[in-house]
Amino acid sequence: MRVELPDQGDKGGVLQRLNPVSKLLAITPVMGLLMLVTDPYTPLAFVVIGALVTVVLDGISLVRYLRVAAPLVALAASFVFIYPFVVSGPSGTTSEILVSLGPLRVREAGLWVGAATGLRILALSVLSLLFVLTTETESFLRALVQTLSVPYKIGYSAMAAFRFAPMLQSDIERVRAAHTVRGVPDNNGLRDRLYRVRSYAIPLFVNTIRRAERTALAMDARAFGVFDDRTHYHTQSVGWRDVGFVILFWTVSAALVGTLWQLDALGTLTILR
Amino acid sequence: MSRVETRELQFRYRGHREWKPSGVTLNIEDGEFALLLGPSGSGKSTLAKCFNGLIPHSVPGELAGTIDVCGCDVTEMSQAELATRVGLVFQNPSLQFVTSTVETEVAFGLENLRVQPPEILKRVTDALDTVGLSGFEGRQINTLSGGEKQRLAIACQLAMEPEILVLDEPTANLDPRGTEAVYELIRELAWDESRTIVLIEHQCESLLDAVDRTLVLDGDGGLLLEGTPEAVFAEHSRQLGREGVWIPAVTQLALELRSSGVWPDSTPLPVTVDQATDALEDVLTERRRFDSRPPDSTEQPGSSFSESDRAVVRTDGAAEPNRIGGGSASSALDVRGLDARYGPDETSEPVLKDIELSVPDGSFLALVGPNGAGKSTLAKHCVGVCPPPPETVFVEGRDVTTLPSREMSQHIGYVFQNPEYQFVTETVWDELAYGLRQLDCDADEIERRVDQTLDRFDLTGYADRNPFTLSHGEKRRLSVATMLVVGQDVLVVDEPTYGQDRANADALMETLSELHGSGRTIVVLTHDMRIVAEYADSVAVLVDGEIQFHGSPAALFDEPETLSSAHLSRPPLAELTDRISWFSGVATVERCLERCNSAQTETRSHDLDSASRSASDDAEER
Amino acid sequence: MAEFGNQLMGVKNWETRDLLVVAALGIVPGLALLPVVFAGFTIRAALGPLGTVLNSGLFYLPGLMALYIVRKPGASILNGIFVSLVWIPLTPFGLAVAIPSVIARIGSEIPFLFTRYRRYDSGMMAASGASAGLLALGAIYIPSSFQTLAIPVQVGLIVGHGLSGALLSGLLGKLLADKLADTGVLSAYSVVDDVEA
Repeated sequence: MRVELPDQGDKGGVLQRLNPVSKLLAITPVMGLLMLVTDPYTPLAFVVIGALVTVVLDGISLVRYLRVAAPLVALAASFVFIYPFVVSGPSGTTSEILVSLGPLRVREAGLWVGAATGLRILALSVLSLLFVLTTETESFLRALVQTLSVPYKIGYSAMAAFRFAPMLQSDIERVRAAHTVRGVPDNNGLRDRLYRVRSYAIPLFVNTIRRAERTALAMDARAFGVFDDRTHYHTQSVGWRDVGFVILFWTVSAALVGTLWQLDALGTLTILR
Repeated sequence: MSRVETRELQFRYRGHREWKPSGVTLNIEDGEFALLLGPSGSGKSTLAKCFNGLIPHSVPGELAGTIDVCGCDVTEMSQAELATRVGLVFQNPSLQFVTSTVETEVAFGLENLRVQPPEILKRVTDALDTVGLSGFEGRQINTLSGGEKQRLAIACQLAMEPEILVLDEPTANLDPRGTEAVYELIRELAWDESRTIVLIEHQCESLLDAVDRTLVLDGDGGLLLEGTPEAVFAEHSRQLGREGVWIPAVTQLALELRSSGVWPDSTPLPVTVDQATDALEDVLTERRRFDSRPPDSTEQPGSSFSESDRAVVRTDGAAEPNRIGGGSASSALDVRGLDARYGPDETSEPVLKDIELSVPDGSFLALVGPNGAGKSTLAKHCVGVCPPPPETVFVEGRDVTTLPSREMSQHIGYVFQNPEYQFVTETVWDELAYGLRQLDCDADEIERRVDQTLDRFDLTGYADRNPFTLSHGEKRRLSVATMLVVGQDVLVVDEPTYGQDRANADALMETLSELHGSGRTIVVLTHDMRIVAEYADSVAVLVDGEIQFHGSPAALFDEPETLSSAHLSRPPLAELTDRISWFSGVATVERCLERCNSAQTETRSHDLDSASRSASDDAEER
Repeated sequence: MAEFGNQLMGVKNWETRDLLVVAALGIVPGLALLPVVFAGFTIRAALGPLGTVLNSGLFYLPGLMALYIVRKPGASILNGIFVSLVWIPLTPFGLAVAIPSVIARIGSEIPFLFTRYRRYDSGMMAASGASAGLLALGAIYIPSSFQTLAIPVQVGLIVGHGLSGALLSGLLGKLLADKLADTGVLSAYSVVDDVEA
């Protein structure tokens, strides 16, 4: 499964104009909490909140959002189906049997854990989508350099290296085509697959390293890394908008968790296993 | 004053044995436009990296001799200072960018130099304006064409306001339209007397009139010649030819005419098409007037004629593939009503629309067209990389959908642009044996055929080498060899001359030409009109997924509308004949001689149809 | 460890070429491993602790390759930082996978620290990979409640992680890098001297 990198366009959404670091700051504590929860209600609540914030605040079309989120929902759903069969535990053997299929028994506790885990993964995904769909990789890296004082040599090297990813993808297609023409068997047996991985790896690595070297020379030719600091043509500042968003997001999240706790719906907190 | 001055400069890359360049002493004068030529492996690109201090500052290796830029020793200058004095534009348009939009990319170098944002804005605007990319500020770089990317790369350098601009084969990866746009820009930049420009190229026909001085390196990395283009090309053309350095097509033509006695020694050899137009007209008219001796040269099997002989045969012999005893009119490759789309469903954009194309056995077809016209998609359907619908593509009369991929690769070979993608083993020998092993040949048979192939492709000394360590030209040769070792009859070659220097390109084309001579069917996908003019016997033009033209190259050069709709340029010799009223098609030595011969018996108003007909008659007789 | 921090801070003295090779070896496999990160969590959820053994080694492979090729202290850690730059925004597990991945790379540098980054043979690479695997396991041990598991399972877990790191990242990384050196693409790096010797 692959999360789509955000494309350009959709300019002007509120979230897109925020400093990426503030978006990360807003969602990180919530994501930390979500890793600990065991009940299905809390993640469900954050799935709704996360999706609403992304779609409403940023004006992303619902269709596009659903298209990106659909595979994540499928992943989450698969937990509900797989978990009941693999989870065993102290409560696993005593809870009520819902369905019995020969030796396989689906117990209520298993279903419960499956639903909680699935929703938790979904909630984490929805929150990271809030960031991913509204942030360009490049402005994220700029913000890291400008707001969090990450050394600019690291930030801009990463920026250059991100450009290699689509090139690698077309490399893979070309290598596959080139191998087909050589008559390399395209069976799916394990041996053939391993052989393919081996014979693809070298040309792919060679090309990636060559690209890295050429790009490095082009960067050196433009005085990259000559000085310890640099000026910034596009600045990523932290404004009142950012502060407001972080406080608002934290307040809403805290209120949500508080309400769930009041309703006794918040289960025990443990580390995600 | 000299901007760049080298004395006995030599450099050796880490892990390499040979010094390239080896002991070069040259200087680049203030404000001049210098063209640096040299065969592959002469160290041209290395020299470019020395000019802006990447060597020795960023590239590991040993430097000997000295290089001064703007009067200072490069080794003692800081990289910041060098970056503002010398701008370097590289060959590959997509590997010199860091950010993803046009504006931020131009700003990148300025930010490194700690230029303040208001000044950056001003310089970005100016630089983009100079290269003609105003209005592109917010565009994503990956949506630009190759030519636009290369102009952006130039803008990135201009924004840093260098005194010297070095361009290292900036058009090697571009299509003809992109090349033209970049040359146009370089021409404009060269007008500015305060700017020094060094252009490293392996050929640059259309820019030669703007070049002040030409410097030529030899194969060993020393400086061979320097002087004005006229002096270098006209006076030393034989020497250049021996070194494998490109010579302008018109100079080549005049040279061959001189060797057959038509071009008098007193008339200087032309370098540009303009010069050639006047000179050729004069020469031929003079000859018609004063010389009534019947020239014997058409019958002469001199070696300098080999190329032109071929050109004549190809120009008019499209209808009859030159296969001896060819009674069979069968097709090597047949495409009938092929449609293809980008996506799987019916609504997605079509790439190929109802393609009908028949490639006769033993022919040499050039498939040309702009980028994105569907050339490689068509080729991929023909070799089975993309499966076509049933009953649309036939190789040697058999529907490719019924052929398993293993059997397919025994009938048709495909040579990729990047030969490295095709390497599947770790030695050259195994690379060649691979296809034979797939056929379950016995060991002796494999040994015999591999050795034979190594010998034929001049790779015998490399049998144990790792294919990746070969030079680019050798890799291409190996890649062709692997495609033929099993005995394939049809060979599809993607861009044989793209990204290569002239010597390598010529060597590969020679190989293809020999294979064609031995009866194989060759299909090349190309932008290079020189190939079309000199090698192909038929040409198909693909525009927007449709075949717009299929016929002989000469007929194509007579259709300016088709050429311009396919963004193709005419080869210089076709350009030349355009300017000479009584000529058409491509000017070749043969046709010029023909013209002179016929002058005795025919009048000047004689139409050229019969001239070309007699040329083809000649060809048939031979 | 102080030396280590200094080395990492010394990144401004690194050449752009080294930086970009380390970055490319981080970001490109980082993106390529995204499906594995997703699948890895599913496998871990489904198979329990033993599931982590299977794929852990592959996660430090790029770091060890980077270190082996560039041969500069901190190359592996830096590589981990580049990988994290991909995983933090692009996976729902963000820090949960990024932190162990960086810790693993710190582990991979430790054996080299002992030899002052002078030896780069198979033994060192295996030790480095094993050290990476064990430190990564250590980072998730208590949070994953592995201490509550039966002793044989715990032993299996520790041995498995060490072996997986030594084989799948240490030795495989060396093998790949040596194969790359054979192609001549690494001629600018010290790794070539080794291979030719």
